[in-house]
Order: sequence, then structure tokens, then C-alpha cells
Amino acid sequence: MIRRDIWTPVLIAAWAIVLGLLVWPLGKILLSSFVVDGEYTFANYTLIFSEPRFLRTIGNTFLVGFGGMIGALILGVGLAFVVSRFEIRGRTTIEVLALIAMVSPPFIGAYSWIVLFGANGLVRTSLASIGIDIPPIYGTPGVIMVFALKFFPQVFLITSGAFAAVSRSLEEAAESLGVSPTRRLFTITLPLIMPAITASGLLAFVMSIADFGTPQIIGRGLQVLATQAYILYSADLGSNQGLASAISLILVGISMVFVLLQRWMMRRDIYHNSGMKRAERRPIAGLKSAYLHMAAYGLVLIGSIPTITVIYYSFRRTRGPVFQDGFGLQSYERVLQRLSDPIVNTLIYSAIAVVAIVIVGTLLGYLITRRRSLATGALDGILTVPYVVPGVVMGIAYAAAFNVAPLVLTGTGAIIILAIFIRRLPYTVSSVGAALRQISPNLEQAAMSLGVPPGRAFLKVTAPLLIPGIVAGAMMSLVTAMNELSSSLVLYIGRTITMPVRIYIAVIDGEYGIAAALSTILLAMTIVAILAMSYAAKRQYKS
Amino acid sequence: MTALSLRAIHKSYGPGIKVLDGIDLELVSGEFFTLLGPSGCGKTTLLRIVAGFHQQDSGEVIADGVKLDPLPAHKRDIGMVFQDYAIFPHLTVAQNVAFGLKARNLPADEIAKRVEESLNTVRLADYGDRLPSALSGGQQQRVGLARAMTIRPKLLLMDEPLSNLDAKLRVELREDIREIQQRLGITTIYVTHDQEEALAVSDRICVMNAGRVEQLGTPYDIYNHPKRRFASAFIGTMNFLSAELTQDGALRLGGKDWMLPGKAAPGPVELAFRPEAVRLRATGNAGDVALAGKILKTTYLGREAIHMVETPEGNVLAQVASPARTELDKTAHAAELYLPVADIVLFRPDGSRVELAP
Repeated sequence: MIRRDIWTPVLIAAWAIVLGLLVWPLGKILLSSFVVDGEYTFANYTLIFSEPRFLRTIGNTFLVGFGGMIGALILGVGLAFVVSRFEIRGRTTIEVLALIAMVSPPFIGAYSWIVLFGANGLVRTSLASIGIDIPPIYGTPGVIMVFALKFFPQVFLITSGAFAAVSRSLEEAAESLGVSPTRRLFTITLPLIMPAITASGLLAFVMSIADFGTPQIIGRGLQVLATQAYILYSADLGSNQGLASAISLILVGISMVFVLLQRWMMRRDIYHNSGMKRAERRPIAGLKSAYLHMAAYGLVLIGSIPTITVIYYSFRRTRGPVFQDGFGLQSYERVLQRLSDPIVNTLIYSAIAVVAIVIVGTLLGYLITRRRSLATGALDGILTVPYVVPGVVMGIAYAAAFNVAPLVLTGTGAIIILAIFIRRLPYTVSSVGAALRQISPNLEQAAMSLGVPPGRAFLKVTAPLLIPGIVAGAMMSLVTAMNELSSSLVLYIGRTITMPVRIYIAVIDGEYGIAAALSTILLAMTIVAILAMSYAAKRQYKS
Repeated sequence: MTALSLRAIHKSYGPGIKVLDGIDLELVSGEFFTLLGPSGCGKTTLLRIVAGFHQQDSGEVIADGVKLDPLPAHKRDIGMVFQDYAIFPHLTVAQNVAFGLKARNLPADEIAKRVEESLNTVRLADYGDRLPSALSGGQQQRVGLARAMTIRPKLLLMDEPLSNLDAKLRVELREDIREIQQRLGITTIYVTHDQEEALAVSDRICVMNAGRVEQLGTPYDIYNHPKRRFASAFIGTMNFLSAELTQDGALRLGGKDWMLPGKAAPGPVELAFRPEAVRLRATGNAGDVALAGKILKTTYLGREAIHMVETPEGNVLAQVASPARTELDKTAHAAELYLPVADIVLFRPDGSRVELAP
């Protein structure tokens, strides 16, 4: 006996959205990856796995993935350990700097590193003038370095949460049994947070291999799967959709394996228990203190160098694309005169996408968490797909799926919005789910026992309690929506260009002044969204 | 008058996981009815089926002659008090209490009147404007009680309302609950795993185990006349010794036979008796079951002392009321135990009670 209520139509609508916006486009490229000249064949895949250039591409993908992962792990876990176990002054500053490094789009970072360490890079040329020669940053090491600096904040945030969650009693127990602090770290603390470490490392891997802007800008001939798919798809002559699809799916396959591994690691994280004693930060003094402070601040400052560089260069005087001595607002003038379209487009597209994400994501998050059934469980499963589909792949899939009647969306703003919507929807669904687990289901049942029907019980009790969480999630979606590059790059036409795409083009064309000014505006918008998010997060009710 | 009938309620979570296995109960109007049992016995599931939060696989729930089964929870007019209070944290105390009244579209002055009345009843009259986070656990549960009773439900359900509170508050609040319930005369189902709480507040207790009703009766009956071994062991402390009923109707314990007041079929039995039934004396009355042993240890509880006595038949707990100082120094001393036959209960290996025929 199942009683029908307001949630039944919501469930049906949810399935319609997922089938139309996720299953259909991805199914379409899956199909086209098996087609050559109108016939079904494995030829695309045999070609990829036999031709050295594609095999090298796959190898490169793993190389930058593991490189980015290891770099991010060393930096992130180290920083988390120092900050969570020692009295470091200005912890909030460190956390904010880490957050800024995390949200600034990776291609901005890549471009800043070129400005500093590129062939004519500022640092590189000034070092050369005093006789120190360092190689330009281009190529694999540069990509890995950018990934490490870009993704270590993720590792830091996840593992510092885990460090804080290790009960002090456990460490005290070890100490009372006569174990030295160093030994205790390796025998008690690190094993306890191992699931968090591996999970965050795998996350860094998945984000590294999905990243398109960094290898494209800084790689200089380094092909990874994400860039290869884009090149095959967008080549003016001889665009090969089938091969691009096959490359895309291999990328999806690799990242799926690692996402599954990550989820499995997180599930093994059984040590969190509430009501325990929080770990203590130890006071430090003298040389050790200076050391640790330098390491912590040095790291987050290096992480935010791209941001600082971009802001600095946006205010440099320029003549045409060339930087001059002194400061000026020419870059901003040019952006506002000629390039207001991308700003307006970005604002409109992300706003629409975020409103849709919030509404749909909240309803779906509720449905999946509170109305468990086969239909909602399957929905939950399918919604993990966007996590493993890199933006380039989603862009290619949308271009392939929505250019035939009756749904011709290619060249419209709608297709860009829909791609952003489906890519970021799962984040809101899961954050709403997490927030819901903090709210006792009894609250809503109490409302029902007092005579309020289920739909209104949700609106009057659960929704108000969810709002701070929803707002925080919405701001996060807004940040990622505004910074979305890869899917938009595939889907834009001149009219529908967005800021990240315009920045990317400016970097490729060497118009660094414009790139810097646009990036700074984007960063400012991002920071406003983050401030709003942290304000909302502080206003949570305690239940 | 019957307020609620439960007829053959079955519920399982998936094949083989039976939670409720044919529950039949009748509640009298205005009574305080307690479902008592260990965790996992199905008592909370049963309560939530009555509330409409769970759906039974089969069986009927009938309140005041109306079948409740087709009605969703919000149309059942049943108040509920939750273990975790479930106070809406974003609403003030008064708004919490008014919540159900607003859902009934009552006029504002009527709502205000009833909110005030209810808050007075639970002694929170001055707390109307506060947010729940400013209240202690006990106060939050009072709000929960006020909120549930202010809608004047035909049935009030309480799901372990006191188990998140500390011991002293628990006793205090349970007295309040009992008093308010009697004053308002609301038929109440109360779920608990705490036998003392159940004995203290209930008109009738239903002891449940593994999805079945073990025994139904007044607190006095449940304590003094357990029908099954489970109920006797779950409520209060009980000593159990292995014994045998002989062909000629005597009780054989430790190689000796004792006469019983009636006859029953022979076979192995368990002899059960409460610690307070044991007499520690030099001599017993004629016919008392006698055991000799040695005191292993003594636990002093102020009002009473409990000796653990080692006998050849097994260890026995014996209670001494208002113990004298000398009572506490008897460890390792020999002791004679006498059990009046009238205070003994016998159980068959299947857990059923041995009924003695005259």
C-alpha cells in the first residue's frame, strides 16, 4: 500500500529531467562513439588503443592526474596537519586564502603562471638578468604544479575536518600507554584519517584529469584526453565526432573508476563519532613556530599568487595588448566598451541556472533522502553521473543531442544554461541531503500529527530549516556556474559568449590586459558570492 | 468504552524480518496504556502504525469506531510526543504550540487562549516568546507535550518521551505527564523500555517481545503475576533456578521434594522468585522451600541491601529491607534461605507459566 501525495508528481518530473538532460545526451555520444561512416563498429576504440598518439594522450592523462594528486596531497595534508595540531596565528586568514585559491578558475591560474614564469615571464626574465636560468613553465611539470597548487585546498579542507574529528581521547589513550607524539601520529592519527586522505586524493585526481583550461593554456603540445576530445570535436576541417565521443567516454570511464573508489573510501570512514572530545592544538614557540608559520603562510600565499598577479596586471597601463610601465585603467575601459556582453551573459546564465538548481535540487534532495524507494534510489545513482563527466564531454554531448528537431538548442543561451544546470545539480542535491540528515524526520511527522498535510509540512517546517544550507549551496553553485569554462567553450557562439570563454580566448590571443581585467571582475563576483555563502552558513539553526 | 482497537496487525521489513506478528489490542477510553519491551520488540513500530507514519502489512486500526487505515497521518487527529522532542527550532515556544491550531484554522483569539492554557498546564507560561534552543531538554519536552495536547486529539501517543532526559528529571516529568493525562482524560499510548517508568504511570501495561504481546495487565498484575518467563524476567529482578515437577506433583529442587498447593503435569521447570520474597532467617515457616548457601557479596543501596548467595542450585539474590549495620558484614558467612511457596512461580521450558490445578 503506497499513499500518493504531492511527491509523486515531483518524482515523475525529476525522472523526466534526468532522462532528457542527462541520459539522452550521453546516450547520444555513446551511440556515436560506435559509429563510423554510418555503420556500427568498434573502429574508434581500436584506433585509439592502437595509435601511439592516442596512447600517449591516455598516458599523459594519468601522468597529470597522479602528479596533481600527489602534489595536492603533500601540500594539503601537510597544511591540514600543521593548522589543526599547532597554535598557528591567523587560522581564518589561512582558510580564506585557501578558499580563494580553490574557487578561482584554474585557467586564470594557468595564465598567471605564464605571466610570471612563461617564456617572457616576469620572474623568469628578471632571474635571467641576474644570471639564473630556469626553464619556462610550459609542459607537463607546469601543468602538474598548477594542479597541485589549485587542488590542494580541497585536500586541506577535507583532511583538516578529519584531523579535527579524531577524538582527543584516542590520542590521549595512546599517550598514556607510553607512545611518543611522532609515533602516535603514524600509528593512531594518520590511520584514522586515511579514508579522508585517500578520498581527497582521488578527488584531486578526478578534478585534474577533467580540467581542460590548464593543459590547453600551459601544456604547449601536451595532449590529455580532455583537450584531445575538444580538438577532435572542434577542428575546422575534418571534425571527427565519433572519435571525439570515444575519447570522451574513455575519459568518463577513467574518472568513473576513481569516483567510485573515492566513494568507497569515504564509506569506510567509520571513525566519526559525535559527542567526543575535540583534538587540542599544541602551543609552539621559537624556531619551530617560525618554521611552521612560514610553511603554512608560504603555501597559501603561493596558492594565491595567480589571484594576486591577475589583479595586479589588470591595473597595469596598456597600449593595445602590450603592457606599459605604471598603472592605468585602460584594460577595464576596453572591457566595458567592447566586452560587456560576456559579463551580462555570465550573470544572466548563472542566475537562471542557479535558480533552477536550487528549486530542482532541493526537491530532489528531499525526495532522495526522505522518500526512499527503488525509483528515488535509482535517481540518486544516476545523479552521480555528472560528477564523472568532464565539462568538455558534457558540452560535446549537448551539442550532439540538441541540434536536431524538435529540440534545436545549439547556438542559444538555453543550451549553455542547461549544461551548467545538469553539471551542478548533483552538488545541491547532495548538500540538501546532507542538511536534511541534520534535521530530525520527526519534525515533519510532528507537523503531520498536528494536522498539517505533507506538502505544507515540508514548506512550513523543513524548508525554513533548510534555507541556510540551501543558500550556501546556491552560492557555491553560483561560483562554479560563473566560472564554467569547458562546456561553455564547446557550446558558445559569438552572441552567447561568457566571461570564462572570453578570458580563455584573450589568453590564447595574447591579450593579457583584457584577460586580467575580466578575470578580476570574475574574481570579485566570485568573492561576493562566497561572502554571501559564509554569511548564510553562520545563520544555521541549532536543532 | 473502546477508544482504539488494533486487530491482527502484521508488519515485516522484507521477507523474514517480522516486526509485528499479529497484534490485537483494545484500549479503553481515557486510559494510560503502556507498550513495554526491549528495543527491537516492535513497540515503536506499532505506535507509528497507529500514528500513520508506518503502514501495516495487514490488520486494522479502528479509533472510535472509525477505520484509520485509509487516512494519512495528518487527518487522523492523533497527537504525538517524540523521543527527540521534535520541537520546531525556528519557531518560538508559543508558535510551536499554536502550530496544530493554525492548521485547523481556528480564530486567532481562540488560538491565543488555548496556547496560554496549554503552556500553563506544562508550567511554561513565561516561556512563550523564547526559541527552543534557549530551553533545557526537560522544558523542550514539556513544549512537545503542550503542542500535542492542545489540539485535543482523540489519542495521544508518546514515543519514549523521557529517555533523553537525566534520571531526576525523568521522574519529575513522568509524574507531570501522568497528572496532566488524568486531568484531561486523553486516551494515551506510551512507549518505553523502562519498566519502572511503566509501572509508575500506567493504567495498563502491554509487555511486548519479538513482535508479540507477552502479557497484558495492570502494573500490579504484571509485576506480581507474570504469565510468561519473559515478562517476569523483564520487569523487576527475578531469581531463576532449575527444578523439576515430579509424577506425584511435588517440586524437586536439590534432591529434595517440596509440596505445592496444587497439581501440574510433570517435567523440567524453572523456579522463579523475587529477591524480596527470600527470607534470610534461622528458621522458616512450615512448607517453605529451604536453601542453604554462603553470602558471596553484599550490595548496599540505602533503603535495602542485596545479598548474592551461592547455593548448590545456583546463585540467588536476596533482599533485606532497611538493613541494620550488621547486615553489611555478612560476606562469606553461611546463610539459610526460605521461600514461601505462595511467592514462587514456575515456568515450563517454552516460557509458559505452570498453572497449578487444585
